Amino acid sequence: MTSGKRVPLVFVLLSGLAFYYSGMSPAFVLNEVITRFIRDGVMVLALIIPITAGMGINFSIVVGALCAQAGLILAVDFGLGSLSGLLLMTLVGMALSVVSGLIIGICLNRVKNREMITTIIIGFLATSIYQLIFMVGYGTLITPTNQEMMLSRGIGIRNMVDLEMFRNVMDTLWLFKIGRIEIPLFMILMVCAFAVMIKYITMTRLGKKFQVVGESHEKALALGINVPRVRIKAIVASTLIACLGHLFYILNIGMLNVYTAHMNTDIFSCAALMAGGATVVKARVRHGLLGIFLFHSLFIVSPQAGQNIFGNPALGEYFRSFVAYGTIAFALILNARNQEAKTGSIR
Amino acid sequence: MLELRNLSKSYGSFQALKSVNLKIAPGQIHGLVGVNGSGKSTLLNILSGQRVIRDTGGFTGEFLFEDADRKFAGPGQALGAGIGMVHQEFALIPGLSVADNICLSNEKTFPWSRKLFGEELACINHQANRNTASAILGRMGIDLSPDLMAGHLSVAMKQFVELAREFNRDHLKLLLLDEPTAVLGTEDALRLMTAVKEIAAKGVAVLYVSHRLEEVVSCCDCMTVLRNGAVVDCIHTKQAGENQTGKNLIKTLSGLMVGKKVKKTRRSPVKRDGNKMIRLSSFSVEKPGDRLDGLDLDIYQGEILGVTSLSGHGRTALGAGVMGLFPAQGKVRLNGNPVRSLNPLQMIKRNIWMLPEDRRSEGLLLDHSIMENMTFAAIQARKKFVQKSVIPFVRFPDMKKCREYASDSRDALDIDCRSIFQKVGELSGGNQQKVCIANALSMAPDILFVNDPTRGIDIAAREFILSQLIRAQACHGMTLIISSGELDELKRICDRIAVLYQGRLFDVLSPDQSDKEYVLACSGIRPEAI
Repeated sequence: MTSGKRVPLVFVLLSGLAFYYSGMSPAFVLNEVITRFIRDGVMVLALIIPITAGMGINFSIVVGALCAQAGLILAVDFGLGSLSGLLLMTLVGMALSVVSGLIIGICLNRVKNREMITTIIIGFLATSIYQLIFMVGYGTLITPTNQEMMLSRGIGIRNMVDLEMFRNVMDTLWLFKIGRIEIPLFMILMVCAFAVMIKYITMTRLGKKFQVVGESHEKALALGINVPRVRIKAIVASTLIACLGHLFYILNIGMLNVYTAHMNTDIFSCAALMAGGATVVKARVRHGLLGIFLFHSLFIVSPQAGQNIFGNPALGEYFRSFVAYGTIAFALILNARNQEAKTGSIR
Repeated sequence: MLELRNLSKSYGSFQALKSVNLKIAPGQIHGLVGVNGSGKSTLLNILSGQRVIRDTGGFTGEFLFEDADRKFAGPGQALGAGIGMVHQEFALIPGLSVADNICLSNEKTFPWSRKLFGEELACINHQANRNTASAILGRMGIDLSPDLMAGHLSVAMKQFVELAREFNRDHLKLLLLDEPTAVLGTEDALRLMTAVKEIAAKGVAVLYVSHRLEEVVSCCDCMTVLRNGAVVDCIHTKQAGENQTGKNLIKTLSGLMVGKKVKKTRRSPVKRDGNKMIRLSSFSVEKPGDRLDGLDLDIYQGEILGVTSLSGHGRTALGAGVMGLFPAQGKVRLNGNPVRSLNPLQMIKRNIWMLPEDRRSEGLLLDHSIMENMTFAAIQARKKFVQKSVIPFVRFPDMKKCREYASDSRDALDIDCRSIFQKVGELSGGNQQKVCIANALSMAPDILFVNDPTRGIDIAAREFILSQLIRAQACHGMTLIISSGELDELKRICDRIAVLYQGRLFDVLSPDQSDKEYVLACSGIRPEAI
């Protein structure tokens, strides 16, 4: 059995087992999974293009998430509600993520073959720059117009910013109910639209270039492809999609956790993608879609299952991070082994 | 169409090309010959716009293509101008299908998507690409499904697909072929040349680089000979044809290429039936692309044994199998003692060493210096070139001895390098092989396996390497097992030659038997069967 099938199968078994022990109702689990699908779906899809272009998992999608948050804070700061606010935050977020995507792309072109570790560090660095701006810059260098979102000392933004004016703008569009299951059709279609878009990109000339660059830099160069530019395009696209995906996430929650909302988006998205059967060199849209369902089902039921089996919910919590990091580690090791088999290296 | 005037190129202080003049007309097949390091690759790199040229300071002189002065910044610009290239090391993308490879960066797309999203984001029409690919392959007379993965193809097929990709370019005007037949058998090479002639008939100019002089003579209209970066002569086949037959022309060419007469290394065979050094019985090895399947063979002490076979019939698997580099089964006796487990460290301790056929990936540490490459194994496995130390387990390499050994070997083996601290990866193939030999000699092995010692090495260096192997064998009294596809070389230096067929020993022939007998044996046919 190939790795593309083995990992998802393990997840199906684990989730089934955990679901059995958790004693949760199927309707509840399904509702939760649908919510997570909307929240995290686009973020997972953002990882696919860089993997195709041979740059591994782009952990710097965190940067895209930060761009989205910056856009959101600006919209709240200017007191813009509903549509005009949505427009502003999207535009600001997209502009910022294109710029930062360019910068990341240029950095990654200098560290060929070490992209993954570099993106992790870039993510940390961006987080601290972001914190510097919104914890220290706001109220000192930047004068806020909306005093409500500031900390009482006048410098820095509160931990939580309420997004009341945006709540239920998009989530309730075309909301259906089948029994106890709620289906926000508009949002589901939006996520699917992103999936279709990425699938389309892989079928275009640009997509073929991503694939060729991913297979071999030298060969792509010899064939007249501008490798550095293609790689930058891949990272810009990824950051842009991540930014939009994070907007989905925050708007769905309805609250912005200014300093922590972006944390772990990279790890969980990556784990979800791997759970769907992707590896660090091969990822398809279907891996992403399948992975979100599998990973989050396990994610939802595992704490309760931990509570029921061991009488301790904390164990279930630990199990969550074990599952997330375990999947990534497994996918990395599996990938290394597959590559060895492919090249038929010496014993 | 193409004209080079006083083209020069230097890498640092080394001058790779010295005022080269060259002219190619549309529809002409122009041969380019020269020994390794004569500047052929540099010339091709300039013409195809490889980045390495610009990164090392560009070139001087005029490069006129279609009456415009060109200085390409990258291969993309050369392609745009109509210069296509078939690479020696395959530039196929293994993970894409044959059709995708042939149509790469020239894909057919759906018109609606082109209008909607532009060229770059236009949706690829796979069916149309498949049809194009089949049409081109059909024209070349190749029966190949366009849906196969390029990575799964045989070497010969890969070469054809690569050629098909260049044929598919709409405005191909000049085609550069870098050793297109190096990996092909005679029949496939003929097919390839027919395809090349066909495309030349359509008005495409072809620059044909090859080591196989017979081919160059048979298919080129005009031949330029390079030596040490300069054009030695330009011969027009038609003009020369009057008074020179093909064979003479080849002789003239090889004389021009080398500049001096090459003395062929020769050694008279010695018959030995003394001590059996290695006895193999039902020995099987699984090596990717090559395998042994139940080989029975005795190797005598101090002999030079040639091993030959068609590729894939087991000649390179023998040494690798005995060294324990690949999974092997069967009985191996060394000096009469059975060897239980085959692993490289054990075999090195028993004084066995191997020179692999793929020097760059298996025989050398390319990013390390010549000196390190020559002494690494001896320091690690033999405790040679190591300082004495009072503290156990802490012994440092003796750099002085290392330097001495490296400079002595450099002089003895005539290695062409800036210094012994130069990276091995920067040397030419022949010099790399010499470094490998120096490394092997530092180990002073009793048994030395050598796989394809002259692969990718030019005529002059070949003979030198063969003579060094003979000398080493004579001085150290080692047992030498040379696996090679070059029958002529084996016949000149070996005592006996084992011919393998389908992974088994077919026959052991003596070096003075005729070529015909060897060819029959390689194909698994007994003379009496005819």
